[in-house]
Amino acid sequence: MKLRYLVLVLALVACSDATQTGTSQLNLDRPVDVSFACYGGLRTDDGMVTTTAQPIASCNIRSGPRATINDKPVPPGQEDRPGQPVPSASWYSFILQSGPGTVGVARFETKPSSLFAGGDVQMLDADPLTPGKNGISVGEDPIAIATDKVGCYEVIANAGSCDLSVLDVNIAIESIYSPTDREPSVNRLEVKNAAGEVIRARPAAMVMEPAGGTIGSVCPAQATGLAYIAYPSCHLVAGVDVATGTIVTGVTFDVNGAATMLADGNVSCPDECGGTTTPTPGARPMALDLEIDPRTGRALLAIGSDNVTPLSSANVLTVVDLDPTLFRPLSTTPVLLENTNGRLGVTSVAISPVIGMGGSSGMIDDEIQTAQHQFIYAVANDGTVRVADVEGAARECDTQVDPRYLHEVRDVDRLSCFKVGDAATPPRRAGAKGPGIELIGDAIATSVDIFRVEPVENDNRLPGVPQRMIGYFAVVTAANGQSYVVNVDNDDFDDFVPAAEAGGIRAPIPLDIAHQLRDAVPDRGQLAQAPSDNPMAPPVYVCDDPGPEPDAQTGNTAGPRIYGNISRTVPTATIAPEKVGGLPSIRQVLCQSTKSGDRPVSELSFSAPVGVREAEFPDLRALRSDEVWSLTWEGSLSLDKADTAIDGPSVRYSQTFVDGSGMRLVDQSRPFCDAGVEPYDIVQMHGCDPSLGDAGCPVGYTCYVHPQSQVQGIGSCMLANEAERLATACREYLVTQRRFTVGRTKSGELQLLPRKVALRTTPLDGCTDDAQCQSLADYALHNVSSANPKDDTTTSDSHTYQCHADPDRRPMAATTTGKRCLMVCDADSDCSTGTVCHPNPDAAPRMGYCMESVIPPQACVNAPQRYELRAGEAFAVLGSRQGYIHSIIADTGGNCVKDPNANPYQVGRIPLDPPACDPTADPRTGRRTDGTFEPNPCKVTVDESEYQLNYVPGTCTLNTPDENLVTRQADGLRLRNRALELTLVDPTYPGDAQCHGDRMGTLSNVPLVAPGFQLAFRQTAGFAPLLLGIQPSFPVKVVRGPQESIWVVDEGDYLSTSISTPSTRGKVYRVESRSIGVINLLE
Amino acid sequence: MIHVKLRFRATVSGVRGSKPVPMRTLCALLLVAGCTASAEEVRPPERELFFPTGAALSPDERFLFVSNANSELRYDSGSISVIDLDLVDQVAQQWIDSKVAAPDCTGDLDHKETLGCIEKQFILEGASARIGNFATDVAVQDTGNGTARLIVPTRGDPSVAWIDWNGQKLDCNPGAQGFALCDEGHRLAYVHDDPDLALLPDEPFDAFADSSGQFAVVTHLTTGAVTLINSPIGGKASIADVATGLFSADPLTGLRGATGVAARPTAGGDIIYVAARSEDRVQTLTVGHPANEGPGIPPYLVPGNYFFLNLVGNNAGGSVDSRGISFSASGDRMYLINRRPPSLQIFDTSLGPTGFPRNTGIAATDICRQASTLTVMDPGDGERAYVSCFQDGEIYVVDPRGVSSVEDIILVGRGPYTVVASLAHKKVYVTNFLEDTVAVIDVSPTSPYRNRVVLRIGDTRAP
Repeated sequence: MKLRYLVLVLALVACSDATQTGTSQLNLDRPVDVSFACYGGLRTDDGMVTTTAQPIASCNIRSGPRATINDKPVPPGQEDRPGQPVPSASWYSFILQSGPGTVGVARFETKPSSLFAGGDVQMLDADPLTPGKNGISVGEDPIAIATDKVGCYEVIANAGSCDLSVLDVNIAIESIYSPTDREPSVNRLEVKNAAGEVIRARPAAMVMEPAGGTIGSVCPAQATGLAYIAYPSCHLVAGVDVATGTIVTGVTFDVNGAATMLADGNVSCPDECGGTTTPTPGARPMALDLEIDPRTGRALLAIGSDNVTPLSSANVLTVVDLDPTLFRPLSTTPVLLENTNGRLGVTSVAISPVIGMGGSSGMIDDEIQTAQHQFIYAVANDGTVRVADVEGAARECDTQVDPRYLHEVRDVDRLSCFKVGDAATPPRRAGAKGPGIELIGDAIATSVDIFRVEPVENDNRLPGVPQRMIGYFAVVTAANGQSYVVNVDNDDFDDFVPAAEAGGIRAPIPLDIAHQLRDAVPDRGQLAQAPSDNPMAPPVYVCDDPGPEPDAQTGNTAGPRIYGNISRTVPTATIAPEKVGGLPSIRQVLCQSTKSGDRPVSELSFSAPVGVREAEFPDLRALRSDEVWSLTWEGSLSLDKADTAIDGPSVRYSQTFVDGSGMRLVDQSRPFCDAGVEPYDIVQMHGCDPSLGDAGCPVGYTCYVHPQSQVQGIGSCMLANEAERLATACREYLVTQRRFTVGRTKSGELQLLPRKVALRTTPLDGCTDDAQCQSLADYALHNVSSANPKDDTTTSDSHTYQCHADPDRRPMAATTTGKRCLMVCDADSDCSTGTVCHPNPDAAPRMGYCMESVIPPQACVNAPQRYELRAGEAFAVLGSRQGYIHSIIADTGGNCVKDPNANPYQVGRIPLDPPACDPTADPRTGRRTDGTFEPNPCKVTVDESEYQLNYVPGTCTLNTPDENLVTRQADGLRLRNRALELTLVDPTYPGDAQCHGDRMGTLSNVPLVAPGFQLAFRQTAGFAPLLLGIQPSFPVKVVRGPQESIWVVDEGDYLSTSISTPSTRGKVYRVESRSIGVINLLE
Repeated sequence: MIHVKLRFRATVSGVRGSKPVPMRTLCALLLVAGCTASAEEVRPPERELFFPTGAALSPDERFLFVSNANSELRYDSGSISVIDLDLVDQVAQQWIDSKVAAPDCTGDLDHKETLGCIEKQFILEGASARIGNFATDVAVQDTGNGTARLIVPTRGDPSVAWIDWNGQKLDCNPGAQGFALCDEGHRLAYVHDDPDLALLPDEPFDAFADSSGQFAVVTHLTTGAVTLINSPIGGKASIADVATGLFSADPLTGLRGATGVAARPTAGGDIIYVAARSEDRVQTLTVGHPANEGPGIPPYLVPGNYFFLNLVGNNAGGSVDSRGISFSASGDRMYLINRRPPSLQIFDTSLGPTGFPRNTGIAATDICRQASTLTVMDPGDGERAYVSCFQDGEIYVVDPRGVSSVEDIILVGRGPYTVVASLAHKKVYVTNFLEDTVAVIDVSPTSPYRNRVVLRIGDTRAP
């Protein structure tokens, strides 16, 4: 067999086209860190010109702006002299590779960022005798690399051997260019305490004091500078003199995360490399950053720690002010972070410069702004990036304040950092994990760094274009392979919502303020406008503009809106197409235009008045880029299909038990509170699908369909050898629609109540008598007819309805009669299809009620049951990407209850009769002056604009014009959720007197909705994060490189099975922060 | 979910016993070679390791059960060896403390911390049992009072052996003497033991035994099926249900594959998590017991929620081809290894405010290619995940705290397959499939040889 394959393969190879797809040479192997050095020509202080490693500043100057392409800046003293030119210097990146324990070397020219175009960074080969581009062996399990202070040595921290490696930059580079003359020199350096005892703790992170040195000085014999090394198990950040390996200073942590500065290097640590380790409690420093602010000279060391003892606020972030000259600790400040998960830890930190917040001039304007802030970004293990402001009293900033509350806030200082826990800090957006910056979906941040991005000379990109970045920005890498851009201080855009009309459309809060994911959709401020007929006049508003095409190849633009029409799904045989106008709909508002003419438009549409648009989409960040929202009367609470996992499967499986206490749906995984089910919701049993045969049932069970069942497509899994025998006993259960009312709700159990048939046109105020019920039953039947009322000859409903209380349905308001029109019977033949007559003395004078379900004997439901959870007597509001939003939690007894602390916008259902809205509440937030909120959803009277049919008086013949634009007062049901606000109008319909839609009926509060009635729309142009255009498999670190270049280190190991995607053993990307489309790739 | 459909076979007799076709081939080869091998000659050695695959601890952690796959078909059957871990500790500690090698042991010349010993001295005599060929895993169900039941899937003739452990020896052939082959009653190949009903699907892969629920679950690598084995204490095990259609097929191969299986302990009954080879999805299941459960009315699988592996690899891999799953002791963390891209993924499975597991990703680590299995244990200074890397002959030790990083990489031998951790012994045991050994790793935080192989059990087979 194998031989045959081999022959086949050989034959294919022999016959194939000579053109082969080249295989990528993989030069890297699990890169984890990168550092940079400057090497090249240097005129030394003694006037000699040599080629050597030199201070970073030398290459920085050489990489500066050029007046002309050949006018390359050089450091003072490095100018060419007659007969003594100074060769140029180049950047070298040293890429630490954890797999083989090597350092790979790459080179790129000293030139401005604007001259990079891709292909500028080249890997070098440290061993030309071995295939591929080889690195230099440095140590075991190296975890961090840094260039020493004067740029002559690379210092590597080794977790595998608990020591340091020191690589001589000069020899390393010389050995690459002259491999026969030199070999790389790597010295192992043991870390010692003040007494000279070797510290053999395992390092987790390392940073070096800022680059210094004097351009012109020759390299010293040893590495220079102070490295801070985090030793988690020793609860220590040690300041190590890299010349000797001696700890000279540091910070230690106690069990609560409290920091103590070390006066000297008098410390001891457990031996983690070859010795015994006795774990001790205490904070475990895991992440470091060290920066000196170029404007203020403030030197800071940020230390992020692993989780410590669960506290209400976790001491996992510590700021150490350093002496700006010696970089020794001066003071430590804990930054208490909200402990959102009880085990909060920090895994990556980045310090920003001191930033003058605000400004939109397109220039970095730190000096002129009064709001001066310095931030620390900390990747936390709650899936967010925490932000602390360390200018003044250190405090954590809440990045998740709901923009609804910030619409009128224009204090840039305040908008720069809302202190977590402060009474003046407005509430968070619903569903926020905590105060930190959230990435999209399940992305888990792995690393963060902050970049200062200067404007590009002669930039022809329009202000506000996402890729045009001016100011300070963070880049956050995530395990899912994405690299997110975060606005820290965007100096090219508004800093708050402009007071002018449509300000919130052009500059919504998530685009204005600090610490927000950067949005990738351009031209948010676009309005439904067309050129004026007068070329000199400004554009005019139009009412027929649906907005830009969201699926255009060039990408989506403009603000959130619906795209396409609102679809309406009407269950069959409930209402004629001519009468669907009587069903609830989403409010239409009047659009006025001198150009396109006035017309009614959806309040969610692009052409809605700008004030309405702003109100309906109050939080851009809470909107997914594209989402289909559906409002379904008595609709499913879960929508998951085979390819989605948002709010649970739409069709679930559980067991059913029937005993003396009734019928219960039981699920050991306890999903019911999570699904948001409430008492009086509906459980629709789906049984098994007979078309699949027995495949839908456990082995040994058969999908049995009762011969008398008239409900299509529903069988029931029953033991194969019992089904026929149980047919009679289970008949009532098997022939009904099997729609149950939910009684008690617990996380693992739902009580199921048999459900009587109720008339859907029962007034919201409750019925008054049997005659009214019978009349409304006829009305419901007439609605199925397409005939105008005056011509409708539909016969009366043959079923009998009586006005009774139904304790098994949601209690009606006290202001109602509390009764519903229920179908009563003496025999099954009196009932509608899929229902049976069940005896009940309350139904007197008839014998019983028609039932949509009955409680069966246990033997009928021994198999697992397929079912669907549906909202009872309410619209279920679901987003295709956000799912069903609810506030149900489990109490200590496992009962499903509404979370008393839930965000008021955590709502996903609309009943037809909610409480009235409070006219005194804030119209944007619904918050009352006392801090409480009006009901949500709530009932309100609104203007509804629509076209109404225009009949010739006294007839049902359409007049000319056939319809009139009308704005009328309508009952509305207003819902605010975390993403949008909408108003459903006409929950009830008065009926027509003569003709379709004349609204001249006399019915009061009579609904027309039937189960399954659905309104759905596609919302587009929600928030879309700006991502770097790179494709790492598993990015573990982002590093700020020369000229504020963004270096993303991808440790990922990916064995490709695709023709189009090569395998990798890790990659390193260089992305130009001033032009993020320019990418260099090493792999 | 689609449960398995009835599959009738024309002939149901004659295929019992272990791997009949390969045995016929073996016999034919032996005939061709001009020799006639007696039953005794092809009987596997009781106290030797040969292609060890699965491993599991006895409930009291005194013994390690190792399945020998007989992948070379040198013998007429595979076997389960019982290794005395107290004795292992004794020999290892003596070596660690004083570098004194026990009899039949020699120090490893390349790794001074490692002692290599012939396995015979550690394998309990008269305690082993013979099973079918190509065993893939061993799962242990605690049946109380020092007894247990082993569930052992075998690929050769798709079946599952169940073997009772009385604290001293394995028994799957009552009445038989010595190193007996499991009898037909202990070899599960038909659903409900009914040849006319349905066969066990092909390629049984991973097994999980639930002691409190008295059931076991076996996944199937090439069909995506999940088999439920009813295993009442004191009663006979049987295949109760087979669920198929839980996973989508691989778009390239068309195959569906269920791989790792483990359960999150919960008060109402454990929730089973099953990973896939063909899809980036984890499916949960529970076991339903019908109200009238009895001998003829076995339990069944009830599918629950599922979630996708969106944590890693959306750019380059999509996190398909998952392998092992393991839970932390509390059940609040689920560890999953994935081959494409190679990663250890950590999920928060603690109960949220709704009382339902959160099932959200919280961390990930890049690991070796071709990872097979993993185990999780807190050896004394925090939880660690130990991942076996078949291709590289290594165990990756991952510290899930903080950034979830690889803490150590341990060379263990060729073809590490199953990794098992014992808290009582502070050891990790690794079956080295390609060299017929079990590597014993010291993971005690206070050991000078922490995360090093201190003992290699078995005579290393040459490549």
